[in-house]
Amino acid sequence: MELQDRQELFVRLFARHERELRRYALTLLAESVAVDDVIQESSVALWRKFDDYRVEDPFLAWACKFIYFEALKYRKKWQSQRRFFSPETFEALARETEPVAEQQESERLALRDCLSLLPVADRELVGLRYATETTISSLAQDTGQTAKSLYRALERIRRVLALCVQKKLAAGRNLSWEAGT
Amino acid sequence: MSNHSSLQAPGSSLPPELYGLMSAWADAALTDDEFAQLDTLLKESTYGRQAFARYVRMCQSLPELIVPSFDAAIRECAANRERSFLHVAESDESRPESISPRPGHEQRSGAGRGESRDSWKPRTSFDAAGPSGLAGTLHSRHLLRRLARQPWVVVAGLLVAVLIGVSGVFPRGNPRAVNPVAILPVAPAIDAMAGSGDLDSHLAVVTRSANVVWESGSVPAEIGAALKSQVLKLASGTLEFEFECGASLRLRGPAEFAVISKSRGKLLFGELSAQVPENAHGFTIDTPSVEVVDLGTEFGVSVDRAGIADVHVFRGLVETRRPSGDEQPGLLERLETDQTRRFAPDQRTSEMLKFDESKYPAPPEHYHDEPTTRGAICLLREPPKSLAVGALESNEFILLFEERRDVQLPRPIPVSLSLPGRYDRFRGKDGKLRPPLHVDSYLLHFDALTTPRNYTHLRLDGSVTFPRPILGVIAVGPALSVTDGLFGYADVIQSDARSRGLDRKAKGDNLDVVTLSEDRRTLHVSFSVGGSCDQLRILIQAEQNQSVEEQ
Repeated sequence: MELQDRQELFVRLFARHERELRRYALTLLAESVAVDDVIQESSVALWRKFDDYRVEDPFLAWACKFIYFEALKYRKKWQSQRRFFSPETFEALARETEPVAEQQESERLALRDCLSLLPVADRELVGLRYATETTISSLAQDTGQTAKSLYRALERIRRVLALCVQKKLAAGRNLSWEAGT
Repeated sequence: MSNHSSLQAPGSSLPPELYGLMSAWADAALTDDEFAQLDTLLKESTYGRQAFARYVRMCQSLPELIVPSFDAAIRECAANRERSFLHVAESDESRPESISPRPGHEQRSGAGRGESRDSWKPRTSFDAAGPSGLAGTLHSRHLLRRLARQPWVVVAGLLVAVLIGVSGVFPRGNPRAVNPVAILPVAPAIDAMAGSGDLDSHLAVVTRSANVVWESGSVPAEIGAALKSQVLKLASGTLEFEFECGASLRLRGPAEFAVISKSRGKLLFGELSAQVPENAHGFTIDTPSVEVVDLGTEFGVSVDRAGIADVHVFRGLVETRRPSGDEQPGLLERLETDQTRRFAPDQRTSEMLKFDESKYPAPPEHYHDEPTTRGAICLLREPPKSLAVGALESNEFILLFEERRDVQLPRPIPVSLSLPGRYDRFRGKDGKLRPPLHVDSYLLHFDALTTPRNYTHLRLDGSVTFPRPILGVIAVGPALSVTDGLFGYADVIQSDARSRGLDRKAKGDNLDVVTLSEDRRTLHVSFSVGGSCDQLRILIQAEQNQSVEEQ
């Protein structure tokens, strides 16, 4: 494969999976400020090693290994200044939560459905919190509610959404199974 | 069972405190002790780790998904209007004679026909609407300003602008008729539109048009015109347009189609086909009875005036879902290549159909030797009628189209650049292409919709890769005008030489930068907003040339 074709393939694959890779990195490091650094270093490492990548292999799984190693390096570098999960938790998360593209898409679609089922007031709060990236304290100022009540409301809404997604995914799996039989 | 009751949390075997800790993590409010507690819970529970990973993904998805939710809120608003475009389109009897063009559109056209672009000001009719219901729903000006900076709010605002423009006033009398919460995200957008002029988020570009007759009252969209959130109403003919996400649609009239976002539209009635590249995965076509979510494919959708939708997959895979405003939204089924299904409003099941070729236009095709574009560059399948300043303005799209094929050079032609490298200074005669060379000619055109406020801050980037080497690029106005006769498409109206080409005296942030790749097949451009149209004429080796001859 010519260099330009490989470059294009790499850019295409990386762009397609960057979102999943970022989420994986965030799961491991639990700190969004770390994710940018890890993604940046990983992308450089991925490109350097791209000659080793075989197109028939899933790119996401291959790239996750780089995320893992870069996350390890990041932990080592910032160990004294930032808080991280314990090594046992980190290793278990890395091993068990590698993203699967199809699964994430199903989750996303399920979440979209669940959002549409939320009462309007809850949906509005989620919108204010996420679509505008507003902090809770600013939101409290803006809405005249206490920060504590907003934390509680968001906790409840996210819990409901998480369980709704879980329920829908389980129902979807049953549906697929029935269709397959 | 109500919608809401279906969201009651089922029992869970997770540690009860886990959700509280994860929520505090999501709000960046986790103390060190709580972080340690979370760590312990995750260490001890596989199920907890899975739940945490899903929770992370969910929180990361919310900012993306909340836009469609607001879209639904807008539809909720629309349902309460006596006459709204979505409602009206689904109920033929009550369709108004015409829908007013959205505020700003006709004004922009005016600007393109003589007004100075620096005199551009947002003019809205929203102030006149003055819905008293809005004021009571707003928490504070501060909140509105923050909301107003969000792109989705502008999109939402554009949709609502149409609603208000059409209906004129909000319903009165029954306080339940207008849901104040549903209006909340919309109101600041109106405020933003009236106050900032940040109106011009373009979502798609018309790339081809064949015998299109527009419905009376609808705003015609010519080839190269950038589309905002708006309704396209075709009486007849075929219109092709490309969304910013890369999905191409071919719409056959009579049809009504609402452009909703950069990756979503609604077919109210009529016939369309879609060609969706892999990177536009998730592109969605709404209809009154079903949502069609692309999973990398070509598909057709046909909707009759009763809202019954037929969906056919030419190639690939789509997912069909109940509309999000439906009482029971959710996945219906996945359709694969050659499958056809009929979906009727208010029915939970679909009907298998035999494929009827006449019901769908052929999907937009790509030719084997056409250039590949990335970033902001959009390839038009036909030349536009006019490239005069202001005719095809957009802050989101750089247009590219083929002018002429296989032109034999009659004389040496000066070019601004011909060798690989990065260029930010452009002269008329950096080299010459000499006869008997044959070239194909393409024109790149960027006419930013400038406002005085953001005049110096906008940059657009894109690249185009050609199947054969680029022999030369003409980048300065006089050279462009001089070579129009030889390379230009005959019927395209061009601006005068002073208003074309790249700025030769730009500095700092205002530099236009062009990079020609080592293999001379890819041109990358980074355009700043300047006072003139940024234009490049790209001359590539014609297919019949056996060797590249240049100096």
